[in-house]
Amino acid sequence: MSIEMVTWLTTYLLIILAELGDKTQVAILLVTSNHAPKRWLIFLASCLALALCVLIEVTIGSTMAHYVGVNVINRIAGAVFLLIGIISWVKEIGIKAKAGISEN
Amino acid sequence: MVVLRYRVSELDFRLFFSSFGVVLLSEMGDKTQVTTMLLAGQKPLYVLWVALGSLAALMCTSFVEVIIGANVLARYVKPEVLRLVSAGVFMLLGILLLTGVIGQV
Repeated sequence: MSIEMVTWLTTYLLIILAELGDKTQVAILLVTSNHAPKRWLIFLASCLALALCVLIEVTIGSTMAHYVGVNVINRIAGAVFLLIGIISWVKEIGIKAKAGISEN
Repeated sequence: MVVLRYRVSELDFRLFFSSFGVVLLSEMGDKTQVTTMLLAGQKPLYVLWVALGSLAALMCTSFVEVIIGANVLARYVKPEVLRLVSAGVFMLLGILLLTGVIGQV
């Protein structure tokens, strides 16, 4: 595989993992359940909003790489990914513990 | 022509802009955004491919939400399991990046 395809696939899988069960998904789901016959319009609107977001993110990221350097960003990314993982893990455990308390 | 006019009149601009705004605001400062930003920073030469991958993933997830609904996915995989797996993958990737196993340029 070429490096372009590897980059594409890594981003695709990581974003899908991060996005499932996230607040954006809940927001789209709520809007869709309120206006079920117009779901294609909502899909179009959410796609445009997500495209705008991706444009902003990519611009910020490549500007950051230009000024800071890729090696520093690799380390920052490691720390931030670790933090995201720990936070969502702790949150998940906390939700489960709270549900257990309310059940009993 | 009649069909086209019917379609255009069916476009509800209030609904369009309200869902646009909701998605934009809920996406801002999200972990998806941070991830895409850092991935684009890691590979500045292949920014286009990072953007395409991120956009494709986001469109796929919103397609699943809008068209199918979360019920289908929730029937096969528990959301908690999914979130735990996602957290595990992020932690693993963070450790690998911090120790320098991957991402050396």
